[in-house]
Amino acid sequence: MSDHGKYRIKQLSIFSENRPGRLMDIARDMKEAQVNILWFTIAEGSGYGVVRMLVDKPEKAYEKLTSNGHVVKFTEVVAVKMEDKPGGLYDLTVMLTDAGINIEYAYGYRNSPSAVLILKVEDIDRAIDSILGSGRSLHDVSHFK
Amino acid sequence: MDEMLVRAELKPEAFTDNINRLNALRERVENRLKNPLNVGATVELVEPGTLPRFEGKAKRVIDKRVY
Repeated sequence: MSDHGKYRIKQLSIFSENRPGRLMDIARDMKEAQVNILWFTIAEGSGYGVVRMLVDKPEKAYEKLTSNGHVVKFTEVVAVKMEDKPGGLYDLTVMLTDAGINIEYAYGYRNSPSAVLILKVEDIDRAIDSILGSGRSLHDVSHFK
Repeated sequence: MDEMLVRAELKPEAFTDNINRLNALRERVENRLKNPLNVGATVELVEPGTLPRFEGKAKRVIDKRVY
């Protein structure tokens, strides 16, 4: 499929030492750059964390954070449109398991009246093909603008 | 047994979103230090630019052992 690119969502991953004020620094950068944080989490390492964020202007956020010395990377994820009802996640994971797609990590949030499941997988293009091929829908990058 | 804390700045190109790989990198540095030094080393990854730079006389080791 030639339109894989529009389904590859740019998540920001930021290395952060585990000490007071680091999240504040990142939040200040986003405020100053007028970037809206749509979702974020902190994955805990050993004495450090990785802040993962979805934002409305990823390039602007990247530029601001790196210019202030943060170690930042784009991580490509896919955003699956989910029905907000029991069993939706199970049905999706059955399909992914059958397709042999391993999930590195995932997170979800309600986007009333539906829900969104963000997936980080090793082979993102194969995951896009499998999810679309199963009749499901993905949010494209415009959803996060 | 003596234990040493080593703070190491993470190069941006070595950063990965994968926590397991970051932990593996830290452990690899610990092992690389332990073998030649024969001292247990705990490595702490820190952000680039956070460690003090060379200021005339180098003071890179702080010995906190009590005899």
